[in-house]
Amino acid sequence: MRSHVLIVDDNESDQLNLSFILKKDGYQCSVAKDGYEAIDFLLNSKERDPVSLIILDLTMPVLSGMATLGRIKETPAISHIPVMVVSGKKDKNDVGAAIKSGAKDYLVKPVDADILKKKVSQLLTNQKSDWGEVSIPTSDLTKGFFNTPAELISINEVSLTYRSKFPLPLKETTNVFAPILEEAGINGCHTRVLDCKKGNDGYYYIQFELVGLNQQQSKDLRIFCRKVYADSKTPKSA
Amino acid sequence: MSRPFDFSTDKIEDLLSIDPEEGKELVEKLIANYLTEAPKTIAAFKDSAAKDDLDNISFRAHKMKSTSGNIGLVSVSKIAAELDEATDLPLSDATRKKIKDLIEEFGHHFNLSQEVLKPYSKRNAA
Repeated sequence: MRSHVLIVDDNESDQLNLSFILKKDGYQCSVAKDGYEAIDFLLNSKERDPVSLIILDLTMPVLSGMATLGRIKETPAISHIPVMVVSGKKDKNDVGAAIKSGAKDYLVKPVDADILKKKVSQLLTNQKSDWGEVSIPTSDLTKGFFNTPAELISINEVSLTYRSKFPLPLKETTNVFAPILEEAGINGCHTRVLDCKKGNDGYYYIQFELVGLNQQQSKDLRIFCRKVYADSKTPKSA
Repeated sequence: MSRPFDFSTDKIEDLLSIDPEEGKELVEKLIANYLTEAPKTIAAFKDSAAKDDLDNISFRAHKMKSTSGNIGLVSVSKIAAELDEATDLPLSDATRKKIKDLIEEFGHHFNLSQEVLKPYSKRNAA
């Protein structure tokens, strides 16, 4: 699957230029012309491939780039998506403020095509390198979810963590929760991997985020997961 | 006195080297966008300067900085950047004069840019 990059820029010339360079480098690109459109796109992208990187301009009407960055970072469902600011502003205060507010990188316009490609590749590679690389059939992972050694270890709003003997295969992340959601009677949301780390106990701790849940679904899911969690802690009688 | 006009073909050549056919289409679109937007921007600069509306000048200059820079118009982009920066200065007669001079210089360089862009623009190809 090609990584999906969202370009947030009101300037048509920059939209065309950035999209062309990145599409030709193998990325899938979408464009939003202001911050509201970007956040709406990110929160309602169930039917599309999830966005892996946001390229954000700073000087935009309606909602400025800094305000957009702030909203992205305070919205749990999308806060994990790395943001690279691409702006005509080159003052060190602007750069510092963007990085302090959560941007992963900063590039000054007009962009050099090679530098843009390199930075985008670096950001996406770094993001992926923290996750697992070993490929395991999805069925094995989901089966393992309800059985030892995989178990839920925390439930926090829409973020779920479980531990497994295996690292998580990148390509299969989005389907891991499908059987659980189905059993919980929840439709219309999808999962994203937030983190995958190997603990001192030798297990992999994999944190998921569920995107696109409404309030009731979120509540139902938490009740369901608590039950699964409780069951997994209860010793099975002989 | 205006600075020398500066145009670099590097940006356009870079895009053409990525994909000659689609790059050509893109360059034509970028040039058409610039040729459409720049005259409107100049008119807006003049109107805003008369009203001391520095925010509007800043916003439009900032946009023009990359619109012109994306097609290698180095001096046009530089003037736009200076105009954007000038709007941060405290409002005074000296600031007004600086802004007025930069708007005139921008207009002059826009006129010069139309000639150098001709070989790459769709209108000329047609």
